[in-house]
Amino acid sequence: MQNGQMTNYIIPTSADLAPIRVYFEELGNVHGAFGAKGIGELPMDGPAPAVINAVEDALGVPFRSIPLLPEDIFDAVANERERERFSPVAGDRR
Amino acid sequence: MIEPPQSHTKCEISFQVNGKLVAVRAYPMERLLDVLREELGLTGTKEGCGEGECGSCSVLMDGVLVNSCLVPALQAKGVNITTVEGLAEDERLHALQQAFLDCGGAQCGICTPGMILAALHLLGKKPQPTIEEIREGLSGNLCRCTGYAQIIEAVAEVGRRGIAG
Repeated sequence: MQNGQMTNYIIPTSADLAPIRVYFEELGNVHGAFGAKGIGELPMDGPAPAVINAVEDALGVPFRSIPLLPEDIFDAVANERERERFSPVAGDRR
Repeated sequence: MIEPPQSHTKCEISFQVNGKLVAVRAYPMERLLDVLREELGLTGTKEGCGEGECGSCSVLMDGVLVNSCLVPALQAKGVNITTVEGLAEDERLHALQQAFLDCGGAQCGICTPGMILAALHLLGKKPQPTIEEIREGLSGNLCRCTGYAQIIEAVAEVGRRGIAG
């Protein structure tokens, strides 16, 4: 089963799923209470920073918070233009 | 001349649910799912996606497994419907329900009634299904909690014990 894009990102059926072997990790996490370590939420942590990094990479403007709205991008790009216009480097180019 | 049923006027529809004859007044294109839940109070049948993808609303209609969210009420005229409420006899759970309980086949429970009816349908055709046949037979019913392992185990268990429990 492959999900190449978000629009048809489907969840597996019983026919798709590989056999699951449950494995208990006996070594506790030193940072967690009583050695506990959350695992269910981990897939939630990566996507937002990845998307923000991609936008940052594409525009060359840093973003540091979520949600990243179209308005935020518009403001940041507009501010960046302003900054460039008044920066000494930009002035030198003129 | 007899007027054909109009989509905007309710009509009388009678059919059997879990062996009991019922008559409801419903719009012809009303979803069978809503008739079962709202008119007949059989809320064991769940609405998952409402578009035939997830199988939560599965019921047996004359022995055929259908998504009740896709069945217009009028099509239920004269049929025999089995919902999850029709499985247990008094206090005694159906073998499938007991097996789901024993094997931990239910977590949040939304897919469970549909899963059980899909399993019942499968066991009707194949009393002792292989794991592959179970996977195939339940593949129209989505579950987000269990990873299917315990559900498949529950159905296999009924295959071993026999449907009569």
